[in-house]
Amino acid sequence: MHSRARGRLVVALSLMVLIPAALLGWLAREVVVADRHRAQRALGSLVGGELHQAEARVLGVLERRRAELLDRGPTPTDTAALRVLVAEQAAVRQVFLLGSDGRRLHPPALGPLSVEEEAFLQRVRGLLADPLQLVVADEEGASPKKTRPTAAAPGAAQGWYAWFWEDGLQLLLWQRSSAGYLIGFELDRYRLLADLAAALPDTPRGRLADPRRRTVLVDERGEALYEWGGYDPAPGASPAASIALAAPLQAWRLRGFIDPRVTAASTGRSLALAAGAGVLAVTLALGGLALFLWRESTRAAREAAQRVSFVSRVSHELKTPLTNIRMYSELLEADFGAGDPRAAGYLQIVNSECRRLSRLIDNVLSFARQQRTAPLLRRSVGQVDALVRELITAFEPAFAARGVQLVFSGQAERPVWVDADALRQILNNLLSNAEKYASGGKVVQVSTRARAHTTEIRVSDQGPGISATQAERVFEPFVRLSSALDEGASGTGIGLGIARELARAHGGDLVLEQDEGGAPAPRGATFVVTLRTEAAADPAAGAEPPSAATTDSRDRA
Amino acid sequence: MKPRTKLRTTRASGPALALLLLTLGTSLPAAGYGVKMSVELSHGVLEAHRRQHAFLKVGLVGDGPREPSQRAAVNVALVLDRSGSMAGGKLEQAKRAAIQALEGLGPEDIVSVVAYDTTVEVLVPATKLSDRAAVYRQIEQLRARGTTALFAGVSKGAHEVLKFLSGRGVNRVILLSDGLANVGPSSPGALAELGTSLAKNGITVSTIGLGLGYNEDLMYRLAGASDGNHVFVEREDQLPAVFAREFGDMFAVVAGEVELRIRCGKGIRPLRVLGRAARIIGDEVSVRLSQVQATVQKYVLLEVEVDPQPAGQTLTLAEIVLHYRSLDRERAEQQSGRAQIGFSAASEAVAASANRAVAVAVLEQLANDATKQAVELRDAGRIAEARVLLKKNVGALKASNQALKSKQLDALEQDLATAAEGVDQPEAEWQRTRKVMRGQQRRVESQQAF
Repeated sequence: MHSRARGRLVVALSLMVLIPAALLGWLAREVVVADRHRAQRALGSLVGGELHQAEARVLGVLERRRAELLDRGPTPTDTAALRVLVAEQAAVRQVFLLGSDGRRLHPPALGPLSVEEEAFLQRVRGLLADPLQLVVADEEGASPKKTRPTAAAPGAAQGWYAWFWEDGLQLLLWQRSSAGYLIGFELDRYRLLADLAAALPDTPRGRLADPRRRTVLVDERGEALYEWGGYDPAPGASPAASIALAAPLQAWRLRGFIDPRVTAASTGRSLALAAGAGVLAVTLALGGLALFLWRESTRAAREAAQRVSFVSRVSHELKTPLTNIRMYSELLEADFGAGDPRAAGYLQIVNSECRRLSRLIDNVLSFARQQRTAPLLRRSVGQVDALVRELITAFEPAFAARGVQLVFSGQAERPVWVDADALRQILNNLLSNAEKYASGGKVVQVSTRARAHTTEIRVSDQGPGISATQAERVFEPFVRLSSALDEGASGTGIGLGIARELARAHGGDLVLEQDEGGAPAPRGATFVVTLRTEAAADPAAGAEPPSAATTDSRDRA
Repeated sequence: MKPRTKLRTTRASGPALALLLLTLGTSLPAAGYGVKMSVELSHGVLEAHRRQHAFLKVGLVGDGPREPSQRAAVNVALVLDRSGSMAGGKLEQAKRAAIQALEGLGPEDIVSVVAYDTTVEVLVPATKLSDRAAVYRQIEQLRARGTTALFAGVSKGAHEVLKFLSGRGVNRVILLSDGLANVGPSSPGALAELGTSLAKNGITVSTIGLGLGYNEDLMYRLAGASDGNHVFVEREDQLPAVFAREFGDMFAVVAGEVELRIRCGKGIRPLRVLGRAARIIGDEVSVRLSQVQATVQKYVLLEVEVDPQPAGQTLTLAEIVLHYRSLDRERAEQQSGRAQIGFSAASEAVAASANRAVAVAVLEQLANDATKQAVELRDAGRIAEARVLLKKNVGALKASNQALKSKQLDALEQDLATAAEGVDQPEAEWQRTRKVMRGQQRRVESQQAF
């Protein structure tokens, strides 16, 4: 099979395997990526759920504080009792009490204050100047505990109030009693943090720990207040989920981190494996199919090559006896052919058939050699016309026997550097081709023309011709056109290919001439051989050939 | 419901000078725990016709059974730093010290163990020590890693103590740290606020600073705010001894939730309480002590301003009420006392009425205040001033102690002299001196037994 066709087949088969495999791979990747995103989302929502659980714990602490401070009956309204409350309530830092008229009852407006009470008044100065802020902030939704009148004290209201002071968020729990008193408990910020830390999970190691999570409670400045979970996220890592706490702690956030290896190791991995295996299986199946098709399509060529290999081995064996047969039959013809015209006729046929057999053997051997190396050339000075004429003479009897006239017109008298053997083999092949296939015509024309650096040889027959689609295929080895054309013809199907290889090695080409429309002549075929033939300066001088270096190196090789 | 021991032994001295009056009220059941209160004045007689300062010292010492088996149960949380810096000998010694200390606990005692690095692990939730081996195993398994979430560690430890907060027991968190708190709240003020809040629950936080890398201000203030102990431990091999002393201190406690209310008489204004947190409102002073031990006298030293009075006048300087919870009976106890003061034009009478013990206490606390100021000055870069201040106090102590001949003051004088040298040292050595000073300050202001 011709190497280009073989190349096309390889490309086609490769595409047949690669395109579906690539498509499938891409699809599989999309599925895996989508699945990973889904898994991440699922983990994210899982983490989000956990964050909400943690948030519930935080709010639970606040609710317990609220219940402790407000739901245990009426709060005291005298300074002494409030001071005892401050001294004993661990969660409370300070307290204020305003009367129904808005006057401050505690810390007492008149009378001595402790240092702590004075500092407290500084902290809540703004708030005490306008206590309505509490209720307003609450109604704006700053607190989940809307003003809630209780059955016990209709008209009473309570809520949280958050403000920032010095080290950060401070919380104040306030209540307006039905009697109109407004009491405000300033929560101890750090005790609250300690209670939150106590209420949130710890980080047991080796027991029930999930080493791949980390949850962080961060304050309004983004600083960690408390964290738990065995995974240590890199600084600056972004959390898988993050929620702001509900009021009154809306300035704080909970951030959930997951070890990224968890996401990678979840279901996504097995899916990726399955997808990879699927793609591999399909690729293997397609590859097998392609290999099968490839072997099927090259089987003919392989079988032919085996045939050639066999024939070439046999031909080697045949060559020596054939040479002897030819030599002695020619001697016989020269010495005794003139005596008896019948004997001369027989000897001529024997000689002609001997030459034919030689050509066949030469072709087979050339082809076998060509499979391994490029053809070697050995240029010498010679006349193209003389060589062509010599061959025509040799072929004339065979053509005459088929009733075909060989017409030669030579215009290449000039001595040039040419490989006579190669030229002979090219013409041998073209003429035997014409002899085989052009018997329908009456004339086979051979013409030569010398150009500046090349010589052109045309061989035209008037046979059935070759269609455009098959114009290139005739040069492929072992291709013979329709069996209808083959009738009576025999050969190895390698002649034209060898002729073209030789012409190309000689710096030229062998083409089937096309007419203007691109199709070969409708009737008959014209093969055109172009050879690169440098003019020899002095036909007598055995000067070096132009490409001597190449030739020598090839010889040596 | 509450049986009150209200004993007022007012030993009125005659018409003469002896107007200093001590009340000592105790009526203890034979084996019960009690607190002996002593009321003393720096001078029983003051100079007449002069506005002047005087000091009232209320001493409290426990009176309990000497038998270890009869001590009050403890509810203790060990909060151990296992941050990366503890790796190696420090953590090993800390484990050893903790386990050795736990050996001293009995079946009625409750213990919890909390370890913290970046996160917190409650190694042993509050439990009676029925299965010691399991507790020890948890401690043994500690490995050092991560950073220092000190606040969270104390929070969890305190929470474990709160679970079984007992009126009959000693509620204490013992914090060991060798590093700077760097996760969560980490300022001395924040930890002090937490300590103040925990003290309201009757929980004391004792802090043990190990090595030279911890924040002594934070540890000192956390202990101070909750009236706990604070110790600087330079080398880890001292840890077992320090833990043993800390536990010994705990075992000696006979009363908790101690509150002293002092109401000053007419013409007397309370100025400050030396070395302890106090709430002063008008003429009323309230001081809370986490606990009273049988082994050591705790005292409250109040400085007052006395208006000029004519000679021969006798005044009630203060009326004192002591509230506490006796650990063996889990009930509120109360005692009261009164301090009377006389005035004289005769300076000999004034001099003769001087009280040596009060004078020693006053000198001790004033010198202690001086070292705190010196630390502040040194921190502000005013090294020379800090040294001058300390040297001046060394001189003053020396002068006063010639008459008083107190070993306590001798030792303090030594400490101040060392500190005076210390403020001049390069930064690294100063950090060590500073830790030593914080330890001494806490010891003096809380009459820490060790």
